[in-house]
Amino acid sequence: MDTLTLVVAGLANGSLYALVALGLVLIYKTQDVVNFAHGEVLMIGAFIGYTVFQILGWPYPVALIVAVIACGAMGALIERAAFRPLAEQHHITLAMLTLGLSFTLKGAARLPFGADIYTFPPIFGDTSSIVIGTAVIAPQNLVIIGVAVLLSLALFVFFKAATLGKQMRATQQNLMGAKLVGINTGRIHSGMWALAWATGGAAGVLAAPVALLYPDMGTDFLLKGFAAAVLGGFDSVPGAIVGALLIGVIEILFGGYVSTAFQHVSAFCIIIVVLFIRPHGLFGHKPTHRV
Amino acid sequence: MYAIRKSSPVVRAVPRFDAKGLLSGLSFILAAGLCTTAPAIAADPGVTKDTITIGVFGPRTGPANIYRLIDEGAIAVYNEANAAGGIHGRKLKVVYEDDGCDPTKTRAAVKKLIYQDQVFLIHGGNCTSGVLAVKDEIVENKVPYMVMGATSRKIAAPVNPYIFTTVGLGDFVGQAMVEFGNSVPNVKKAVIVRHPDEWAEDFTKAVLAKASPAAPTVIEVTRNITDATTQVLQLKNMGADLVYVVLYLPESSVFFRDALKYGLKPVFVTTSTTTDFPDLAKRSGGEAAIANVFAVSALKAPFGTEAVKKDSDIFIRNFPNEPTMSFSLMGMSGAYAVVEGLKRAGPNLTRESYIKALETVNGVPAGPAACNIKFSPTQHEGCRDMTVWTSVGGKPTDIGRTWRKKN
Repeated sequence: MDTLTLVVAGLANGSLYALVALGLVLIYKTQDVVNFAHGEVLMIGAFIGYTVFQILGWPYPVALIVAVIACGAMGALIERAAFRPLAEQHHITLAMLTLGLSFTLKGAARLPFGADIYTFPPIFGDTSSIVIGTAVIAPQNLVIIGVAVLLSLALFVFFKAATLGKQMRATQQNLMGAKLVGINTGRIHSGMWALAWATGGAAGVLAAPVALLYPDMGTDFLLKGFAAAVLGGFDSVPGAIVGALLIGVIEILFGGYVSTAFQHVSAFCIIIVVLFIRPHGLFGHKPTHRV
Repeated sequence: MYAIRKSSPVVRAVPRFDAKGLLSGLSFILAAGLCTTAPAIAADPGVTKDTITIGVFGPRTGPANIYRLIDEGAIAVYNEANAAGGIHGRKLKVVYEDDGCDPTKTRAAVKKLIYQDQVFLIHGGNCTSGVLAVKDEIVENKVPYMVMGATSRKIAAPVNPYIFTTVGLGDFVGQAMVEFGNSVPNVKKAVIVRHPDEWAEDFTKAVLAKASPAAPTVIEVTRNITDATTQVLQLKNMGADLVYVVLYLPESSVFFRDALKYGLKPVFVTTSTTTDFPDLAKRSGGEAAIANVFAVSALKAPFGTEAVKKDSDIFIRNFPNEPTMSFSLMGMSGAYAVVEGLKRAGPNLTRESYIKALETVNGVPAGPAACNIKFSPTQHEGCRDMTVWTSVGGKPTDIGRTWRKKN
């Protein structure tokens, strides 16, 4: 069994989980709500990518850009129309809202696409896996890892250097303080949702060639992304990424060397163990309250 | 001495003889007696003067929803029977419920059919786990049941008075798979790739019992996977040159896609879930992914070909917007059996008379299936003929039951 092949495949899966986890954490840090519709954001991105690439016949990079922009716009619109009016409500209310959004998006996807399963055609054709010694590396896996790394770096630079990014960080850290210094927090929230949905859309287009496309496809990715965020720390962006990569690699190594039957469960077992030791996740901060 | 005033509350009611009331009471008792002792005019649910209600359940939604085509093939046969005038003056009314191949939803769907829709018989079930979850409910309510596509032996064995099937059961298909696999030359290592569920169990046992080389390794694949890298790499590591694939269609396509990706090229022998080669190729990423796939089939010929043209046309006529695949034909044999049983039961239709009539069906053509239906009181598996298909030039092609090189 070639470990390098497994690790690369695990990193590719983990990169997809990382993009989903990133979206979850971005919204959570801003508004303290877990977006249970984030799996459906990936699904929408995948179907937009399918429409652009397969039906319209445009190149794959164009499909990726269109999905990112479309999902970002959708996220901003939904925040403005559905969440902002209820922003002061209890967390449970907001969580239920995201659940309702999840069902709505699945139903909406069934209208044009029905309940059938679609297959995204391979980007690199039937062959052309890269062989390094005994390792076999699929080009699609390298694309997934590369785009995920680029997106993560872009987000990192954005939050560190861009004015809007700094405003977003300020809003996340202290909402009242941000308002007091004149930051338009409403626009910040919309922007954060747009970013979160854009990363979800990107994950969808990257996942499309390796997954099966159907309206319920986002559920598994949401579970893994959620698990990654829990493992890494729900208030830590780097933690979410590291957690996701760990889950991707652990599950595939477990499947390869121990048992394929428990492959998808192994990562959750590890999370249970980690949370016993560090309940706030590997990179999360212990919650403190000033008295 | 006390006088009883008219206003006094103490009034003794003196019963008077009420002839009218007595007559009403006697009439009621007589009517009740007649109701309980008179012979039943239409005691079985689902049968009226004009209709026979058939309950169908299957996956209209969810990842396995492609199997809805099997249900639609059966419904097309019922529609054709109605177009030809019905059966003994009664039209077949179909109530179609979605179970999503989820046992929880299957239970809800079947309960609705039995208790709310009060169907006469049930023809449904493409997923073994769902059918096993409802088998007891159906039998307890004495509803005649024709299995649609589920293949576990636990469904139909031992013979149950109410359960019939024209689907090749898992162990029988497994025997056909291993017969083909054993005929492949130069095999040193055989492996079985299966789901860890009831559906795959019968196929696996049949292959393990007769495979040569003996004792193939078993690798498990969970449902709804999007990546089969670990399984494919394990197979490569083992040097597998013959792989029995016991997976549902979506997982099969992921498996064949990843097998191509990592350069795994043994002979693949699969169940009838993957006989639709053009669709399988599309799902798996191209013809190259399925070049070595050989699938056991219970059908005479692929959809649209001469041998099954009549039934293909029936499906297209009734479901013009649906995909046309082998699945579109698979449910028809059971529907033909049901129609034949209803005809033989005659106009005084009861569930008991229908079952007795069904058990007399012997040698009746099963539409597109490669068999003639044969039932008896001790045999409720109506079809047992199989063949093997592969893709030649992009078209499904029957190559018989043993290996031969493709041209």
